[in-house]
Amino acid sequence: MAPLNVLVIDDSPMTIKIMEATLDQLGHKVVASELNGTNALETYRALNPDLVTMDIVMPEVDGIEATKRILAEFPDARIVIVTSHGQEMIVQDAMNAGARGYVTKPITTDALEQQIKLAMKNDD
Amino acid sequence: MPIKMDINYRLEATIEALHQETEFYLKQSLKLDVVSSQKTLESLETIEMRDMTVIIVLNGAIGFSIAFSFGRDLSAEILRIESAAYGLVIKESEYVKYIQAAIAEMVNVIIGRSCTLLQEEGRLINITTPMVIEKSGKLHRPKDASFSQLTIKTNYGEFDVNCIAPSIIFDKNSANDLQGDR
Repeated sequence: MAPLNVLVIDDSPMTIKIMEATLDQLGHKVVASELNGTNALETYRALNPDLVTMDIVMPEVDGIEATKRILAEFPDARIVIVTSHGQEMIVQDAMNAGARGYVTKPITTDALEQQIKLAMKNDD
Repeated sequence: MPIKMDINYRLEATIEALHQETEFYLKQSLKLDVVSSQKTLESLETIEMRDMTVIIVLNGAIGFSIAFSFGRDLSAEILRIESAAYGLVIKESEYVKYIQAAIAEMVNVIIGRSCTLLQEEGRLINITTPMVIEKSGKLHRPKDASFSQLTIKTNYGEFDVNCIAPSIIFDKNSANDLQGDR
């Protein structure tokens, strides 16, 4: 897979560090990170990343709402949810919002790689 | 089921799920051995808060506050192990911030996974973002509240997992609820 420019949205500075290290290991680059969903759309608009990783529980705007906002303006955006939540109702909400992948924490390189591949698949 | 029995049942189930997921996280992510663990399911009169406490409130299908309480040395050890595992470089100037972030994220992951175990069809358990309090002290049990505790001892020290019902205790001005008497 070609290297991807990734926008990481997560309210945990620790997770952002871990995502930077894990994505680097997979050959990708974190071009920006946000600690909440409020600025997600604006940052996406400015950087047009290849992929977004999105936490769910965040202050102000949560990850499902931020996913909807990005996809409303950029329907082809590739968004993978990275969260500690595995409750079926939340997974379903995220997929209904348009996320293309779902990784539960703790983050492992294999699980993240698999979901990124899935998210980057062409629809046709 | 009578309400009191229902709360006790849910508390026990919640402590059990937290126990399982805490041990999983320690072994899987931190490669830490659990030396021993002790559950106190009958309601405690006070909870001793150690140096750093991470609080997450559960709402919806379950209404509890969960408070993980760590000593400073163990918190620093958790950051050291996580950093080494992922090859992270933490600047000295950011050390305090990342100790808080490491334990907050550990608790967030454990509680998120515990809620997956506790989920019931059609009823969502909402969880808040973690809140970190750096203040040791005692939390006294208000009337009608219930305190249950799980203490986990690792080879780097022990920490407490406190389950507090109802959740409203920590809904407002939580830091003020701690009486700093140590």
